[in-house]
Amino acid sequence: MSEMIRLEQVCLRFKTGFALDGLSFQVESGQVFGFLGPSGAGKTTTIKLLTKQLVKDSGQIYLFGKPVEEVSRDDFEKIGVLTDTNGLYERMSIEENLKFFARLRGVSPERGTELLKRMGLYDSRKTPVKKCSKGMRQRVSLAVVLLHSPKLLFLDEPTSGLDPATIQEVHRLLLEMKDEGTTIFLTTHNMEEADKLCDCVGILDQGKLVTSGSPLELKLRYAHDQINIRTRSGEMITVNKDTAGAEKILEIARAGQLMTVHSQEPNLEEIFLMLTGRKF
Amino acid sequence: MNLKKTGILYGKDLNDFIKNPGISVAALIPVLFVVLYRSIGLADALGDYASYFLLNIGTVMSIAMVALLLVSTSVAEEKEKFTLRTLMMSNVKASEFLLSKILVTLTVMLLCNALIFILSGTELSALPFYLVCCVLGSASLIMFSACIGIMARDQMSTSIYQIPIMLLVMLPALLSGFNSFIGTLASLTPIAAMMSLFENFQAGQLVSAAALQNLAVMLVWIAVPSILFAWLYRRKGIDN
Repeated sequence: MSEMIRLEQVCLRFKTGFALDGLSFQVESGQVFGFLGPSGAGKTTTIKLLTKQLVKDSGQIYLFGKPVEEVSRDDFEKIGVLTDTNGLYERMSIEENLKFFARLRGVSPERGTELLKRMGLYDSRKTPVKKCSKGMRQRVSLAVVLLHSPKLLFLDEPTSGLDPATIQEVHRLLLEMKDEGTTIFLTTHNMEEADKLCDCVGILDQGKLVTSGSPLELKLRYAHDQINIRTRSGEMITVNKDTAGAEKILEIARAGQLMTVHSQEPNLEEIFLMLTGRKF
Repeated sequence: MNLKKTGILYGKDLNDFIKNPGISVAALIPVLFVVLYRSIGLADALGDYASYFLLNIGTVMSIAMVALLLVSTSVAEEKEKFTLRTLMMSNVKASEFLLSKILVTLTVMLLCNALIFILSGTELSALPFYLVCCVLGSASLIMFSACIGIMARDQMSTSIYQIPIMLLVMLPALLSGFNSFIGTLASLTPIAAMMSLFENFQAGQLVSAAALQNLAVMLVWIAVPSILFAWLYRRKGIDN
């Protein structure tokens, strides 16, 4: 696996204070990297730095193995970016928007039709964008970003405002892209989404990376070392993962009272809360 | 610069102009004004002076409105609705984006001015030179419009910059006949210099000190906003 993105001690300061404070992490080619954190943590700022919409104050950013300053226009043809500020032409229909961006990207209009079908937008393709709901606009924006099958995809809250069925379809599409070798840099508030899609996650708070690793690694790293036992009478008993705990489980089992045994692993949200003392 | 991308953007911008009544109607007002003058017989009352009057007033209105309005309003709308960000993220360069807007402005303005020329009843053989004059006379306003596009955050704020420039170039040209001071002032504006150069051509005095002076006025007017644009672009970029 080759390196796709690397940040080394990146700092960016706005008038209000540090947006990013010594941020370092790495994303390998073909990975889905989830960037998690509350609003204002610096997730979108990181995407803007990586896509040259902002310039860092200090540190180093590498994209495709070269400093971001040296990333060429040809390299940018391999990138797709979806942020909360992706706009669509409101006087054009959904289909016209797709056709326009397809021509701009040099891809066939059929690719646009294929994506419209996948996003559940084909039947409403003639609808002017100004008459579309927020969820529809989000799906059109996503289709625009996916038109040229980018090698590196930046997605800022891609499923925000979508209904559960479309979220499932988007997840399926992203996993397919991952299988085809696309590297995906994903920011999300949705912990289930991160758990389902990401090979690796980084938790960001106040411009600093608090922790990173695969979702499973993080859950094990921050596990409570406790086991929950439910007895036949419905009582819930929590024991530690030690000899005394094992003996307690054995004792309940011998008495024929053992119903369920579950080890306690925190979810990503609990890990965030544990590390920062703050909620998403 | 990728000319293919510029061409695609041009097609989109031209379509968008047609679909946007707020802008397309404004561009047609000078033409409608000339049609109205002709249809209600006011032009007949002017006698031989009618062609000159209609061509002058129509051209001044058309250049001042279309050249100044289109680029700035269109850039500001793309900023306001974040489509400019989508274009930049689709690997479109600022130069391609702006060139497309400028070409659409020129297309619309030249079409409107050709209609005004025909409706005014001026001799058709002079049309090609008239259109060349229109390009020269409007270039400075198009560049000012591009500067406004960079400075303005949204469509509302473009008018703050557009109106003073529009008045500066339009009023002296329209009121130049009232007294000699306004006449002198008007001769220093690009549209009046352009119309004067066209008169030089019609009088067969294209190679003359007066024609050179008119050309110089227009070139100075083109240079000023071009320098301002270069400075603003370096300082703020297109998508500030």
